[in-house]
Amino acid sequence: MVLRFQLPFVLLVLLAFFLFATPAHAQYGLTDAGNALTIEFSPATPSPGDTVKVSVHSSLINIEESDVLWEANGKTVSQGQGIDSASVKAGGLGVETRITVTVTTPDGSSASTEATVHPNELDLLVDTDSYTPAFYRGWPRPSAGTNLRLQAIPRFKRGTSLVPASELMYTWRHSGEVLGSMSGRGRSAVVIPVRHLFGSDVISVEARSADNKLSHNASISISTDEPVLTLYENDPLYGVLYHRALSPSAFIPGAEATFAAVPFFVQTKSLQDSALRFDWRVNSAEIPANPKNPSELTINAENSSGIGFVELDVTHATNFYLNTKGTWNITFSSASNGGTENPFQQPGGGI
Amino acid sequence: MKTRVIIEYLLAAIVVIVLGSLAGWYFFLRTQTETTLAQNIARGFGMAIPEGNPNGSISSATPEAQTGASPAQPSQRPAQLWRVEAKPTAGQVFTGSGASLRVRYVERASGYVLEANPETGQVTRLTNTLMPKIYEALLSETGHVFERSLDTAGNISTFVGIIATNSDASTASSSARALTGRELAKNMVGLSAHPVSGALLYVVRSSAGSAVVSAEWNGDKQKTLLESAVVSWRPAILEDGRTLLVQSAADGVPGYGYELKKDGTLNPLLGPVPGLVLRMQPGGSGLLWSQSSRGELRLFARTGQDATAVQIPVRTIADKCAWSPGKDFVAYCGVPQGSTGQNFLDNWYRGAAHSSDALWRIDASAGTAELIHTPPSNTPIDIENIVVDRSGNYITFMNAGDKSLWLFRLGK
Repeated sequence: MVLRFQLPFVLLVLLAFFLFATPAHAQYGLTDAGNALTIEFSPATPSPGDTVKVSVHSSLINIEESDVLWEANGKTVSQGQGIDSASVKAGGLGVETRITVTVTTPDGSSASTEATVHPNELDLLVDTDSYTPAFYRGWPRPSAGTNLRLQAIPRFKRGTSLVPASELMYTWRHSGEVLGSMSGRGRSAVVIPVRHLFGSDVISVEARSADNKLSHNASISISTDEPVLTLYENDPLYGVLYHRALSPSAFIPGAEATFAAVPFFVQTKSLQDSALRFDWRVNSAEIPANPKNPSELTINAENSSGIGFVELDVTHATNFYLNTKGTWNITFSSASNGGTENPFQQPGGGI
Repeated sequence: MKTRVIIEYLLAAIVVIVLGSLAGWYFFLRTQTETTLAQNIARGFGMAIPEGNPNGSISSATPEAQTGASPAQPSQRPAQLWRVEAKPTAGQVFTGSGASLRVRYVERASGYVLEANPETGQVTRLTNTLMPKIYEALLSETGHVFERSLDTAGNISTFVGIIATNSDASTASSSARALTGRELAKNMVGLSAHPVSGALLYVVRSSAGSAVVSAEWNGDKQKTLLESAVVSWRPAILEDGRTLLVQSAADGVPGYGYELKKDGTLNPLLGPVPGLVLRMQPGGSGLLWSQSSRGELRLFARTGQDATAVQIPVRTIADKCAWSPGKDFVAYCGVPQGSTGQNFLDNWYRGAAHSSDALWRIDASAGTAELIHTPPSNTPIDIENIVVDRSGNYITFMNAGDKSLWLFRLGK
């Protein structure tokens, strides 16, 4: 008789446990595997001042039919039936916002969980080692064979102090693939080679504190460009006139001029790099490059028609992707109409 | 009696012939003189040499009236828009104030330092030390001169010298002096000097990428503030001592700008902004920046860290802008007239594209822009390296098309 009454009692207790006790576990926080409620942030790693969309999910509770209460730092943000998301403005750097969501089912049972918005910042800066001339104020664009240099600059604040960048764990990804050898504690900078002619590289980095409580990620898409071959006059008084690139049809006062070619964004540190090859032609005649200064060409148009069609082809000994060309129609003002056969002369081996 | 009459007639005839000859000679010579004078004027005879006399003493420049008026006479007030130096220059600064205000600048070909008087148009050469092919020059108000060039191996060289601060261009007794100084470290890829003390902030390559170093004007007391993988920094020291680091810009490429603290920490100012070029208000909280995306330029401003950014209704690069001294949020910008074309930012930096600019006054607090001056259509000026004097009465800038130096008087 006692057993007859005990069995339904045990069943009721078990039923009560499964119906009510499991949601109650949500109160222990997100890290508890037994959570009935989970909260998601969008963006996942908010920055200061971001409007964060917080949403709640559950596989055990029908949220659509439940009353949902959203609170931020104890103040009601939103409340109503089936409201499964709310917007919260993140505070300043390192200023925590505690989000609490309480779900009350139609039968009166309730569950709640909470999470913390911890705004941090992570800048992802990109630079390249492609060639630009001295005093160039612009950013060097990447081309095939050059390297991307990336620098992550985190600003993670705990309390009133910033977490040193060297204490964070960095996970670098190139087009989604983790760069294991470049990731790790304090690895806030990487160098990634550009291996293709066209397209873009998507690089992302995630920085995380050792206790996993602080994290942020950033990504950048970098397009590969072709080198830009530009021709300048190298004036004996003023030097290379970097401020005045020659247009495809250029006019030069005088009968003689030295021209300096600058292959912007190619793979080299110096234009004297022996791997770079400059193939000059003037009026279809090949001009041997000056061994000391292969990127420069001197033309003397004395006693000629004064018009020179200059062609230049820049290639690289090992980087077969590097092939940039340019043509310029140059008219010299002071050349007399002598009309010699090969009017353009290259000192030191030219015609 | 008869003989006497003959003599009288003869004398009268001689007098008539002599007078006639003299009259003819007078009119003939006058015509020739006028012709010669006209030819001489056409050849430029009598025009002053802008850089001064060979011995360095004062000469008077021709304050060319670029707005179409006839050239002013020496020691006359130059035209409102005055081409101070037609030959390429490397950098400039305002020195002095009031009646002693001068535009001090460096000639690109010679490295000579010269001064121009905005009120009289007189130009004085201050130094006679030849430093050829100066690509970039920085000057402080107190006499520091940084001249940057390339050596035969292609390395960037930086020479620093100092000249006396009390040179008075109005005294004819002054003469050019030697610019003495020393070479600083090679290959400073980016350099900024404090406008008064000449203190340096520069970028050099390092194993990590780059090192950002602070130093005194003569290179002493070097301190590495930051090491990073980024080399393409543009450093800047403001008069109030704040130091800025902004990434070099390219169209469509996100860039960041920071205030670099003395302990090496980076305090973010802006970013990521595509094609970011930034100008911070000296002594104030104003920020002026441009962005370039898909070839489209936009200019923005804000008056404080937490202030809302406003878009200024002109399209230009912040490299063409300078804040006016003072607490008002006023800046002056060269603004390209008409369309700048595709990829203008990159092409402009390469010297492959130039604009014809008008001068605008920007009120960052109101978010407005007001046209100040439009150069004549036959005088296209591509404004760069723009500086406003402390009184806010003058603006000097270079024409990126030919590196000539200009001065604009804000008052009539």
